[in-house]
Amino acid sequence: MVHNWKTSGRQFSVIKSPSDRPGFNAAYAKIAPYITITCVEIMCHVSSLSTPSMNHSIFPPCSLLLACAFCFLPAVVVAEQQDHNSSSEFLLFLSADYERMFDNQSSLSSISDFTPAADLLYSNSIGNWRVLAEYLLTDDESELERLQFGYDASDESTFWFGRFHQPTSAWVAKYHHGRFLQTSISRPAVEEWEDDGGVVPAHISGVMLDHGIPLDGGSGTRISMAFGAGPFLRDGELSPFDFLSPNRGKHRLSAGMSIAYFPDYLADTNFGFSGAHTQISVEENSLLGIDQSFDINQTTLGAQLDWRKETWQLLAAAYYIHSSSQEPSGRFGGWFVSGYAEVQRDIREVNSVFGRVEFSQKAKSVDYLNLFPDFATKKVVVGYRFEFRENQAVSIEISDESWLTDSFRQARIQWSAVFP
Amino acid sequence: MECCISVMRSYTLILLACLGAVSAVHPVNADEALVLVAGEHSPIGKLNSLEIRKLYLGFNVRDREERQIHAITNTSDARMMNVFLQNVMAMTERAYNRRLLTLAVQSGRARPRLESSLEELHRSLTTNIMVVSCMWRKDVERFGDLKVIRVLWTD
Repeated sequence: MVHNWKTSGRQFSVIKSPSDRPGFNAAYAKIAPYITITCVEIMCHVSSLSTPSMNHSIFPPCSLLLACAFCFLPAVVVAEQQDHNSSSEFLLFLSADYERMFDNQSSLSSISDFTPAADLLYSNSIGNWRVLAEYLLTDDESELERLQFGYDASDESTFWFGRFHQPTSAWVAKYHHGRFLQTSISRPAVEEWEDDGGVVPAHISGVMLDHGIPLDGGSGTRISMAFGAGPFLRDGELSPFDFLSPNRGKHRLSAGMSIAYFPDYLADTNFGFSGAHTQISVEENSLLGIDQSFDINQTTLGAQLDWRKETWQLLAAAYYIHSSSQEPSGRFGGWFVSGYAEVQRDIREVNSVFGRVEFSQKAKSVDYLNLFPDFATKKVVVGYRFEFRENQAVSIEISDESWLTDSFRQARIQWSAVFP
Repeated sequence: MECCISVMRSYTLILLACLGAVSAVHPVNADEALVLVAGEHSPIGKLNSLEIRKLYLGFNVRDREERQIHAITNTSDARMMNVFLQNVMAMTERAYNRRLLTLAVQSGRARPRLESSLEELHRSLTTNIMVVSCMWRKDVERFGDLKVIRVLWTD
């Protein structure tokens, strides 16, 4: 539901939270117990099928955790009927992308792809407790992206438990999975999700502290620290811990931290630094010449700037990524640098033009990236976005990309929206 | 001479008539003020501008007894919303909506509730002592059982 009001010749609208609709929550509260029972039954069935590898898991009762989560959601909504001090959000991000490659230098002919996606985000808070769940569904992916429970220790400090996004990534921390929120269609290579060829972990399952420090004059600092289970590497893809398949692979420890200074504590503009250390378990893969599993220790140091001034916006980040391998031959070690700068100019609010340059150094000589042949070492992106009806946008984008194994041009078009 | 005086009188009358017509469309009120209000029995004390901005972005704000304060966005008057966004939030409408959406996605912060009916808003303020909202001062005086937390803007 959208509220509209006219002022000074301009039309205002604010998207209304579904929590404002008593009928919506009442209906959800009625069906929630049945959803919960069904989910728990499905999870019990899945757990019973996956007992052979149970001893590999560092989180034995994860399906139980998830069951508690599903139980908690309807309980929260029901409690909300009586509690004025609670607030909830349901957001549905929809998108449809079409992309086509041109001028491939390899033997591959032109490749095109159509990707519809739906990302459902639910959050609720009662008193000092919060819950946030996010589920992403595309034509080739169905994943519980985030499931985190938070406790507000103070107005400025929140402890999170569960699976959340790695706080060290500037792009992930700003846009998460909300495709409507990001202006460009594609993401920088170094900020890609694990299942899209990402080379650094984007998810951690464990605990995280978000802490803000307001300073004099309206400025402030925000610190995020996370610690938990990181991803393992299988078939050239990092796989984060998955609540729905908890017994898949060996998850080692991962820790990350970011600190950012905000000239206006409540606005977007900020700059900061980040660091992370992850132990990645690499599984055997004969195609990649890996005879036995081993671990890679990966350390990431980063710097980022998110700057907005009137109609201009700049988002830039650079990361130094060092990997050391515990494999007997010492392969897959080394370091490289990767970064990007995206500039955006808004024209009459609803039109935006943007451009992004991505760069990397020593990427072609580091063995770790041999595990990710689709990593883009250089990319130049330009595009245009048009917003309409307050909650929808159409974007077009053209890019010139150099991957480790190929180089080509690519054109993309995307429709994206957020509801309600 | 008398002719000149009568012409001037006519012009003055026309001018006054025009001014009257303009003020009928946009009534001029020297005391027009946008205020932050709560129910008259609310324990909420003074809030600074950072706390008010935090409230309207969905951040946690508590009183001295650690009770959570909630904000309701009054959408009953378009001009008031414009004044509020420009002078309190220092954002355009698009930037404000985008910031709310970003915060909801980042950390699950719920956007403030919207209320388009003054009567409903008045009922929410008087039944929940930890709720604040914005109103024209003349509306506050009309209801009579609300207290002003802070004057946000005056004409």
